[in-house]
Amino acid sequence: MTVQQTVSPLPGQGASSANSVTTQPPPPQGMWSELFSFRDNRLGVILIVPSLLALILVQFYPIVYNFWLILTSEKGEWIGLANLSRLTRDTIFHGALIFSLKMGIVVVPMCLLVGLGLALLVHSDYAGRKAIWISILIIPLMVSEIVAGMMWKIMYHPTLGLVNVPLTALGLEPIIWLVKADTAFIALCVVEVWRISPLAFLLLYAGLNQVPRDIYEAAAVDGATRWRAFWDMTLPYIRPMFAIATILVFVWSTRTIGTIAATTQGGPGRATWNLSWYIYGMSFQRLKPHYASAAVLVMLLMTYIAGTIFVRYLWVERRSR
Amino acid sequence: MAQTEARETAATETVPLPVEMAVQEGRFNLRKLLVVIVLYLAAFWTLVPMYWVAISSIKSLRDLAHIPPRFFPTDPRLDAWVTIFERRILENVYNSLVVATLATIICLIISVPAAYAATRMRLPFKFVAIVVGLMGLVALLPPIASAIPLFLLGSDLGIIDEKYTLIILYTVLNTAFAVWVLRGTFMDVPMDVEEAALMDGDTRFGAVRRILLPLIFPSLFSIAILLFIFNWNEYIIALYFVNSMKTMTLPIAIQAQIPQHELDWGVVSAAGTIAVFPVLVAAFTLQRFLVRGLTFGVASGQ
Repeated sequence: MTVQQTVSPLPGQGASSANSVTTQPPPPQGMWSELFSFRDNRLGVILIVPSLLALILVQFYPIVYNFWLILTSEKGEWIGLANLSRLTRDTIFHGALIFSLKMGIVVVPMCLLVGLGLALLVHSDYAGRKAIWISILIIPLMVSEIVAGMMWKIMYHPTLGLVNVPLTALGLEPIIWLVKADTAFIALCVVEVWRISPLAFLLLYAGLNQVPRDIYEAAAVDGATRWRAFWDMTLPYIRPMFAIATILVFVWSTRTIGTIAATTQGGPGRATWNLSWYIYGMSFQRLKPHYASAAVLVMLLMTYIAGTIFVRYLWVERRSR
Repeated sequence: MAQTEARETAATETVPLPVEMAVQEGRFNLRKLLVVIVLYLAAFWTLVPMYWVAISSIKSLRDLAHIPPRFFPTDPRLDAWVTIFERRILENVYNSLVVATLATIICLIISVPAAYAATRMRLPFKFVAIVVGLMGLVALLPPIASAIPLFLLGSDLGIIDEKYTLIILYTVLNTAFAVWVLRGTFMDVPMDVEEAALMDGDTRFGAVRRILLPLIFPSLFSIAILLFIFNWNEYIIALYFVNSMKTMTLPIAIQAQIPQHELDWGVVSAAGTIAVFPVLVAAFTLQRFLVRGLTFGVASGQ
């Protein structure tokens, strides 16, 4: 009875592939359930029900309700797919969607690179007290989005900020980062990399810890170079973790709202509107929750599609090799 | 001292072959130096915004206006701190504290039994599979996706802008995550001890209280801290549900303090320092728990 083992946290992933990459043995569940299987059902269900209700209230009720919102006008009349078709013609929405995707495309590889690099460094034998390094490096994960944005807004400030100091020291003109569309995009990407790369670091570090040490010794005996050992042994081992990290970093970077609220407020113009900011603006400031729900649906679809792609290409071993 | 310690553990952990050791010995120091330099740079990159904010909160106006900005304040002042306390930041701290603490406790109260049931009891096969699978799945859903329906529901019920609404929402928002992580924790604990207690005639509850809870306490504690940090930092739901000073949590208060144009940065820096401080303290005093909890939290899907 190893049901729980094979359930995966991610959509679209088969049980067999989870098993093929799992190195831990299944928990000794068989004996336990044989011994105490009697009359457990009712109590167990009772114990689970409160959290199930919570799940229904905050996750399933909203999703179902979202569909109803999409299909009705702001006055509650049935309008079919009008909200969605309006969305396809909404240039502000297009801008927001493209901005979110652009940000994901820039931030995800950066975060993974930074995260992997730091994970390898901390994991190496030269790092000294690992716990201290880890607890310093993951601090951004524990800072609120809005506070992170506020900090970086000060950092980017033309006179108060630190970011322009090296530029002026080199004799260059200081850049007023947040008032021009392209520099604001770069600035926000930097904030996101600062905020999210610790997540990739943490996950990949956990992944590295699962790699058995003795395979490296075997490889060293066989005369494999470090690079070769990394490419052929480490990477395949941390591949599932890499997939999780990719998905989570993508999701985090596309859903960010606090950093934008604190730094650019979507400006200049609408240059830094992302999906979350669009949804917030439409639903809360312009009071069009029904229309905003259509954008929520797009966001969910985007998350789902990205998740599926990453799982398919990163997690699952290619069998046709 | 730390160095020798590290070298010792490294030596015992990897057990390098003598040949390999001899080959590596020559460049050992250079490699180590490079690794440590890069790590120091990474730590600098991580910490510098926080240092900058803390410093900005005690800079005098003259220091704030100084170009180029000063890395160390020449004339530290507490004006900004006085102002932020005059703007009743302590009420926001109190709100955040109450909401985050209660939501954390209630969340644990409902998710520990669920995780226990999911790992230790024989439940209908599909029931557990579906519930647990879905709980893992929903971790990917953006909170803003639930925010609109919940906000409309809240307005219908007339419970917007109440602390208890925030507590309920934070509790339920974190439940799926908490069950998911706790389930992993419970699966890590071998069941032999518990079984032995049950064989000796202990009740199920007794076995849980005397055997299981002490064993998982460190993990439970780290998960509680993690949930507290999530709640302390929560921003999106608060954005929709906070309307007045009565419920305003710290993140929303900070947003309200951000000046758009003028040079009034000391005050919001002070507010930001207040928001980050407890988290930093938690990070350093509880580092072992926290790293374990965080790693576990994100990795337990494995």
